[in-house]
Amino acid sequence: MTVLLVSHDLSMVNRVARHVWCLQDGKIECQGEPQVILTGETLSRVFGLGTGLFHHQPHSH
Amino acid sequence: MSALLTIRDLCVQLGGHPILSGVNAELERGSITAVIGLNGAGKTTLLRALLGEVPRTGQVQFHCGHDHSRPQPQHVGYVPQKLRLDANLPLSVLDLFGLCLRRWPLFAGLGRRFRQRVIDLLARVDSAHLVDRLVDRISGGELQRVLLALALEPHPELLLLDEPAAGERV
Repeated sequence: MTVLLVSHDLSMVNRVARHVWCLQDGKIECQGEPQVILTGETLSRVFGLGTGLFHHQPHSH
Repeated sequence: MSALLTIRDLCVQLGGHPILSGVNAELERGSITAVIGLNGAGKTTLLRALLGEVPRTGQVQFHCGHDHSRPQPQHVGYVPQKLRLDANLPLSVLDLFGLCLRRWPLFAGLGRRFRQRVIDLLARVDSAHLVDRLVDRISGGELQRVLLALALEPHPELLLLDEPAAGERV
């Protein structure tokens, strides 16, 4: 099965998606793998200043 | 991997306003692709354009050999963010499946076998317990799981999900 999903949840997108399309003003502004697209620079451009995705590593106890 | 879907110069205007203005993309077969963007960027309209629910120009080409001029549930499943139903409608989850999957009107009755089929479909998404609940009394996350169970019957080639995590209870 092929899945195309729309989401504001960037953590979930980073977790499950193989590809990301960034839609801006009715056009795909950029597309690629999550590691390439979900960067501070791209997200700032698409969502506005001060946006970034932080990769959380759970602590081991 | 090959493309299931090719989108070329897809444009949608609603109420005289351009919503999509020349979308070009290829959807890889067997993969999960996410569309992100601000509110109003055209994300939901893109899904509805692929379903043929809004007037569009440009090309939407499926590479699976089926006729997609009128998308069928066995080819494309769709889980909207919410249902556009009257909140006072006394509709159970079982009734909702009856409306969507049966050819007969609801007043003809649904029967024991159909009820078991719905329970089995709901069990795929861990929601068999919702079968007799009223649609307007379940949470947004529960409703999305119900709609997902519906979209997965029959097994579609392409599944379109609009904000799949939005209704989940935290």
